[in-house]
Amino acid sequence: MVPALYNQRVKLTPQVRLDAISVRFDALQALSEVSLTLTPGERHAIVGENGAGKSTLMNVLFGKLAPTTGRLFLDGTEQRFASPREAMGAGIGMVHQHFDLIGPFTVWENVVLGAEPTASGGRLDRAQARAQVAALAERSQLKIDPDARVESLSVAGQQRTEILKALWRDARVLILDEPTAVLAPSEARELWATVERLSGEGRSIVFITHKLSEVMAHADRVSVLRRGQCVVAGVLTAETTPELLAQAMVAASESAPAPSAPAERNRAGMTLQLKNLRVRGTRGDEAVQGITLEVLPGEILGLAGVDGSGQTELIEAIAGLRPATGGTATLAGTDLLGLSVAQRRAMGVSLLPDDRLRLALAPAMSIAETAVLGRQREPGFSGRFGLLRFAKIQAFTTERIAAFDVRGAEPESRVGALSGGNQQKLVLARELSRQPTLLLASQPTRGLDFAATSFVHGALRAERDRGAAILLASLDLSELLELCDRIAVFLAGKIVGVVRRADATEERLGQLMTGASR
Amino acid sequence: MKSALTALGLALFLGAVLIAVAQKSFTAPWESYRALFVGALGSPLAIGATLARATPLLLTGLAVAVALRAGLFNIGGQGQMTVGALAAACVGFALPAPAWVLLPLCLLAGMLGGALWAWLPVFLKETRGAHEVITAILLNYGASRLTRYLASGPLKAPGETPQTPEVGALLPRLHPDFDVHAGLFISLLALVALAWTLTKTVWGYELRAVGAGADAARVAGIEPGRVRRNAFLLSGALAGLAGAVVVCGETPFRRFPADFSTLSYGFDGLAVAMLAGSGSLFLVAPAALLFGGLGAGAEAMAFAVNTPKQLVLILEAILIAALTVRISPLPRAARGRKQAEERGERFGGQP
Repeated sequence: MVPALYNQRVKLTPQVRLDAISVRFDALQALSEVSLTLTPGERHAIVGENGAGKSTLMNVLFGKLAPTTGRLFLDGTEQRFASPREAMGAGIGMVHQHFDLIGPFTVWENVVLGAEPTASGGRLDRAQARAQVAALAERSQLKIDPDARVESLSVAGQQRTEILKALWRDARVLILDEPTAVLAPSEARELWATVERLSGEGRSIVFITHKLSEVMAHADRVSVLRRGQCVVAGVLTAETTPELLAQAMVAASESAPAPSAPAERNRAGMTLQLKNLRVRGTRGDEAVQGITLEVLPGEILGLAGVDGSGQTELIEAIAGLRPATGGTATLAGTDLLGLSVAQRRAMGVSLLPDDRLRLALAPAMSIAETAVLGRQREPGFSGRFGLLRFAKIQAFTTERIAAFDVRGAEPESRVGALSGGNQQKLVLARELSRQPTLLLASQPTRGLDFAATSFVHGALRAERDRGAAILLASLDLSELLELCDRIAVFLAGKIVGVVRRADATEERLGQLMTGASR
Repeated sequence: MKSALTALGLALFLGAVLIAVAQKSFTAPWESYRALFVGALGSPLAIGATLARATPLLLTGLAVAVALRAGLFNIGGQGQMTVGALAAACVGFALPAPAWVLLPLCLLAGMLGGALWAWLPVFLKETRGAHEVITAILLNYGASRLTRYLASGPLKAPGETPQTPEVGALLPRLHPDFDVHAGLFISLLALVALAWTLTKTVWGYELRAVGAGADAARVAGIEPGRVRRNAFLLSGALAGLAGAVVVCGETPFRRFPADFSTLSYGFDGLAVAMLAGSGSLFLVAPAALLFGGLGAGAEAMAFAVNTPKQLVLILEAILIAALTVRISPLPRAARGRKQAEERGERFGGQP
């Protein structure tokens, strides 16, 4: 298959019409009669809470999922995609939140994979393929080295590779699933510039997002999904406001949890002290290069920085998942570095990891099993001869599900069946039940909708007031500004500044993060 | 469960085609399968033979299944069983003790022997980083050659046949006319005890947690390395117990013959565990019965009609292949949906 040549002006973008799409998973109505129209050259944002059906709708458009009822038209002709391959053939491309790339392959190899230009006899003409990919990257102004190995790229670089892949297949309708969830602010700006260019060429762009500011700034029209229904259908962003959209996203019955009243902070807990801490990264480089910090009880200390500046490695080292190569870390005077993960947990260290699905949960386990993971040896949950106390575990799980409003959760059902926001609530419900003295939170609201996000924020504030020392790493500066008492800014494994909240602005932090000022 | 039955149906169908082609007869498949069925279940004698074969298969199947629950693939069951069998035989002929003392010692020696052979891959992995699948495969050969040498050399009983002396402790037959012996109860006891341990104890919980998500388990303070090591040793002990049960119970053994390792119970345990799948551990029992029946029926089939008993090996091979590629009777769209659910993408949210 020789891909159609990339045109500077795309003339053939089809008008896309999804007509009354319904998707049913057994007893669950994931989408009911959702209609959506995309005109060539428009940027269309899809917003909604976790579990509202956004990804399901996009999977229907991309041919991944057959709708139970409803029809899909391209330029007025009905289409039935049996697979994403057919959708791609019709000019629809999708960049998933979790990239489908082969790490050890180079950028150009990933781009042409499955749609290779072939020479005589089915041979892959490597030189030609590479040259064509390089030319395509150049024309579409995507900053990327075609010979770089994909695993050596930053997340943003991998995302550009995915976009290039879609363009290589001549995608005229491009779906982006939460494209900025994993990007630093500067990278996001670059992405939006790309989006603008592509739509200027006549392509239609659909993107899913949780950030209403992005909708207002970068979409022409916006649709809101709520519990499988389209409650706002393609309204011009110029004719709506973030407040109206936010209202539409949340059902009338459910209001975001009220912000906790300013409470007396307990300052009697334990202090975390880091002195000249050094940690090696995954690739053998020194990811954390001598960090000295203090996190007081009743304080949230934020870690700002471009993704990959060493924040994750620092948190993993304190949690005991990664050996420190130098320096000290003490909690209330006790050396942490010599202790096992279990011993640190026993001291009250608790982790909310960024990669929840891998590090905090196992999708195949039941919710009850997950609710006590790490606490299974406590007398409350197991007794003599290591026998599990099922009645206690069951009661505990039911109580936690109710206390943290984990929707759709039964103690016996599988964790994998929960939506992302509810998975995070379950993790919170478990970790906070231990009343941690030191809470390590790494991007705790990544990928969550705003109801779940404000729930997590409320929980963090409550822990702070209770007297926990909290270390919060986040790529979302507004989150740090909202929650933290102080913010330490990372740049390439070092702290370039610690800013009090009163003195902190996004601009100031952004300058520090990128090394623009000291 | 459904996929197991589909795979079985497919294996029987393809096997029938093979027999028809090989024998140039359309009735041959029917006759062969009838003989196979009669040989497996057609008479009390046949049922006894099936149960006798299922006895060690249940143990080797459990060995593989337990390791799988911890996310490990113990392909070394064959070698562990062989070493366990020799260890049991040695204790059985060397110790001058009354049978009721000796029998438990033999079984224990079998378990220790199997665990020892399973410890080698674990040790090599921890000290040298060698992958346990590779080392366990190689150690299967090691076990075969080593025990052959020992049984035909240093440990050989007087006489022509290369084999160890007879053991002084036997698992009695349940009835003098039938092959099935008291080892069946040991297997069933192991099944119940393991299923109980895996679901009801902290130890089993941690083992399953490591299998379901080793990283999440590590973050929770569980040490995946320690849990995996214990699971692998337990797996080896079960395979070794199978060897001891064969030596002490199965006719015509009562001793360790030099060619013991040609018995394929250890390898068949892989098939049994795969057929049983990742659900309830109790499913290992019907899977072991099926393979026991196929083995017993194959002998009878080769004897009664002209179909070679190797046919059953082909049936087993097709069965495993069909299970591995996950033949599913569901149509494509439904399957995609099911997979999506399994990945947790039930709603539009992020998995």
